[in-house]
Amino acid sequence: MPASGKVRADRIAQGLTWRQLLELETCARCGECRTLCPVYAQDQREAICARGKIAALRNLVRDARAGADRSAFFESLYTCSACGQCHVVCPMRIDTPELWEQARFALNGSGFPRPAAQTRQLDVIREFNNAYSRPQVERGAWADRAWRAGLLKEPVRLWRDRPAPNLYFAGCTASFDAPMQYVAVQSARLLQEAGVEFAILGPDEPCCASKLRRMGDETFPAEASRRISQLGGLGGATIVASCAGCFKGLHGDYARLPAGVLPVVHLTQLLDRLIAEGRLRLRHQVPLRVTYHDPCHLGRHSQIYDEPRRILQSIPGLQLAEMPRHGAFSSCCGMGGGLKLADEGLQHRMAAQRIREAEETGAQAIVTPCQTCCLGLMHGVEKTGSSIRVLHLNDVVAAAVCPEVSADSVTAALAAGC
Amino acid sequence: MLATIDYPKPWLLLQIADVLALGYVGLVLALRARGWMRGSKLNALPPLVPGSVAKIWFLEVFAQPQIKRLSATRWAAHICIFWGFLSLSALSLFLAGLRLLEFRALDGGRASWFLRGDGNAIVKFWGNGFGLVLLAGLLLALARRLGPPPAPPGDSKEADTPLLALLLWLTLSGFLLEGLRLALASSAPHPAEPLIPWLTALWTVHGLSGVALIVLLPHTTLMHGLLAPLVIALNARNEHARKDLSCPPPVKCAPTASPRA
Repeated sequence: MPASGKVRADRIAQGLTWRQLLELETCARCGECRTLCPVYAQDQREAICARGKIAALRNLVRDARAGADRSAFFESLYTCSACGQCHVVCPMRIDTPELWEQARFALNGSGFPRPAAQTRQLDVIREFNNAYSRPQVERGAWADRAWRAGLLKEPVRLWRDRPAPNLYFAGCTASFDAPMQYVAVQSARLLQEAGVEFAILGPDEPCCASKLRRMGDETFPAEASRRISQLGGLGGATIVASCAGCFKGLHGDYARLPAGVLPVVHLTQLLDRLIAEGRLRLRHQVPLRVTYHDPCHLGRHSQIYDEPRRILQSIPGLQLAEMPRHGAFSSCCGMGGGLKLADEGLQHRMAAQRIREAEETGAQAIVTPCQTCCLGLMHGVEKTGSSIRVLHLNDVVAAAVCPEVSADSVTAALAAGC
Repeated sequence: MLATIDYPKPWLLLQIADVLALGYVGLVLALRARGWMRGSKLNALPPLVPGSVAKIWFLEVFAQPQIKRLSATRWAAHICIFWGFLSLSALSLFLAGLRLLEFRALDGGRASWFLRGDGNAIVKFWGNGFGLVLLAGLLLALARRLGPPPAPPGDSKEADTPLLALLLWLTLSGFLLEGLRLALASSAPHPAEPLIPWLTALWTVHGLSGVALIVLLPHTTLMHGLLAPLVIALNARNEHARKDLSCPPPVKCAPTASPRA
């Protein structure tokens, strides 16, 4: 027999924290969240913006049967990238990204299904320990192939063979997604150029599981705890993540769990330090006018705004032009929070919007230190037919340090090596 | 000094209404609190840094720079309503307390100095001054709503405009009452007797409008006035740990234009 509306409402409420339930009542419906929401910019429906979702969720925790807006709320909850723009502008400081993720968790735990594509993706992550349905044994293959192709100064060693003071955590996208594997290769090469001693976990590297949290999967705490045990047992090595999503997972999401505070830095933080210390020398001119796209997980969620900009500004010949929306107000490309899985067309429109903003700066390229954003922005380039290039920050740094290891050359060499 | 005008005030009616309204609000809040307690425990909070959290809280509750960063006019309207409302509420509480102390003969004769003596000028200055602040805020808020650009469907206009109208009525009726009182006082020793019943009626309506506002409190966006300081205090701890919102302040950027077709 289906649970009554009240019982279901109680279950949803129990899935949220008491503070989040309090925050639902605190929203003053001022509408600031609406003014800068990148999803609302594409679809001006009240249900889309944060205050609309908060109102619907408030009704839902009072009576799960109530509200004609229920289906619109489910749709908008899952087509939200949880980019955090509404959190930045909320005068009440409601932690909206946490609220959306927890609401997904609570709704799923109360028997409300999530979009099928998200469910499939979560099943894949749990089954394969990566988001690409690939065997784990292939995870570190990029390192071997890059060494054989002459793209690295020395072989990348496996942690299990010999631990190191630093662990490079490539993440699923740079490990498995062929067009983005250059990010892992360039990261390794740049660390080698700076003389940083590091190792990789290779086939032992787990998926960070942060996507489970993004989509509100109930297995996240258990899955993350397993990874915390594994990574916490590395003798205090500093984990260097080149993926913004992995960084948010390892640095932000894990920290909310017992013993989850790990020594994690994002690659941009390390590169910035290495450049400042003179260990990474930017020898070559890069005559390019670029604009910088702040990934949500690195910017608003982790407050890493200055390091990537300092890196870009230290590259000889490179000009940085800011988009009107940058830093804490950077507009999301739509790749986060499972949004693309729920509505691919919406992601493409959001990315197209961001590409138009980038074009208006007169930049030749839009640079971002997140491979997922790179993929997302490329959809925007396709949709708009823009001539602007989408570059990973690594590619620009590599052009100044070791231009022979460009994204194109790495991709071609790895493809030939296959 | 103007003569004090004494006219019949149905204090008992208002006090009963106040007690009932406050009891109702208390009951609704208790029921709501029971609902909030259904939620799970919080995850581990970052370490408490009392000085920093207090600084964020005082700034964001009393100066509201987070609103100013987004819109100077919205901030001007909100801060005037906030300080006006808060100060007038504090004055009402202060006067109610004085009357209670006087009634119980616990004031040592000092209450009458404020209520009827020279100190009444301070009370009037406080009330009229912050009444003007509140009025300015309300008029600015209404002007923002009525002026361009038009709000899209689903805007908070429908929900909040009646509330703003009630607040405006409450403020205007207060000024009307004060105006009538001054008019009568200046006409002493021959007070305009026919106006006395009107004064009583207006005083009653003004008082009952205040009671209506109390009753509406948990059912309107006024609720944020109670809860926002609490939520800001709770979030200040995370904000300080993440260094994300207050420190450093986010740079205001022009919003991106709507997507082109």
